[in-house]
Amino acid sequence: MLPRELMAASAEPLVLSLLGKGESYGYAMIQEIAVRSKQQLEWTEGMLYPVLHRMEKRGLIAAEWRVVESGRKRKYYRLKPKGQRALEASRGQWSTVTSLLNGLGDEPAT
Amino acid sequence: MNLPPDAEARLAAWRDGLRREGITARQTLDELESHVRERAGDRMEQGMEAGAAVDVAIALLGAPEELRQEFSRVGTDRRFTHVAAMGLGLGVAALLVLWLCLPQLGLRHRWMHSVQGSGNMVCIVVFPLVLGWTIYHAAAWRGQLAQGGNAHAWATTSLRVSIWITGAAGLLWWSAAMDWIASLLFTYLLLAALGAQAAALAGLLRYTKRRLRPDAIAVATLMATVISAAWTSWPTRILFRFSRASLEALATQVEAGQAIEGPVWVGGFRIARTEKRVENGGGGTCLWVMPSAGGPSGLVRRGLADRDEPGWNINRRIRLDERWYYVSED
Repeated sequence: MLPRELMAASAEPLVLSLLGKGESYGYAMIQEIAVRSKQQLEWTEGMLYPVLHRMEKRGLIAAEWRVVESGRKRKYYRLKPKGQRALEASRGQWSTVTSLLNGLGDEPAT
Repeated sequence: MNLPPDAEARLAAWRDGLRREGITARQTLDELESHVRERAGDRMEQGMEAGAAVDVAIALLGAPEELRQEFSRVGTDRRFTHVAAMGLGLGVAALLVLWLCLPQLGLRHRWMHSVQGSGNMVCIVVFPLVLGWTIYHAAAWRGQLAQGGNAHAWATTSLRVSIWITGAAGLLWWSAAMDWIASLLFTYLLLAALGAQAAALAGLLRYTKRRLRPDAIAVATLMATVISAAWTSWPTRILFRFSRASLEALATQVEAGQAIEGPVWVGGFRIARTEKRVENGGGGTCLWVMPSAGGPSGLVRRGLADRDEPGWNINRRIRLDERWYYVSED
């Protein structure tokens, strides 16, 4: 399991990345992250929704209620242009951190 | 997947708990409930009993208090702006209060005398708006307007309360007899309610996606009610219709020389003092609701022999029928 701070810091970039692939809803996002991270990153389920609402308020994502085949209501989120730009910026930042970590890790200890 | 009644009851109880905790936005509650249903549905497909599946799904979502804390952080990312706006509101409010208090403190300069009347009026009109502004930013600063938090509770409640206060103040203003102090107080109440309403509307527009149609209809209905009351004095007329028989009986008593002792309810009017006036052409029997020495207000029945309408130093006169008037003297 990842530390809480890292999970909190990565929540928005991960939501942006997930929605970058296509629209989705809260429960599906939680499931997908758990599967893709091989259960290493399991969000506290209630934590995701305030994050989504904050991102919606900041204009990064948009939401829409839909009724699916089972008759159940779901709130679908999708990326807005501002969110797309934030996703690209975020990927660059995380890439820098990852490269730095890997680079430092590959160097022999002095 | 449909849940059995006992599982539905657990879900409803959990939803009520969230609402009591302060997560009152319907869309947020719907979204969280949708999540619990998805999670419980998956568990039930794996063979778990429905009630237990709902309990597990609720537990995984987190405690209501934790959820509220998470949601309360949404919308508070502009804290400094709210603090600055709140400070500005308080500063302006303090200046307005100082202005109104300066004569009492003996600090008003000569130049202020020339604008005293209009200055006071500006203070009275602006103060509620400043109050609304400050309340709104204070609530936003404390995270009470956070989407999914108390936003709907705060904004909709204050909006509706202010609508009804405005309505009540408006109706009283145009239907009841009041001296100038009461009139001023009601004007102030009305303006304060409008200020709170403006703040609540701003909160709704900025922090929620709530549809404003019901409130817009309420505001339009209210305005139409107040304007029609002002235009036709229908509340007074309705009250008069219902009270007419009793008023006629009392007026006849007064004409016969029997004055009443102390305030009495006559139909829907509280008559505080009675009086018979005999004047050239325009006398009448007065049933004063507000017996202010400076200028009473109340019902007047014109004498059968009187040719003219009551024309004393009248501030306001409503003709109720052939003989009855509602008058306010200056």
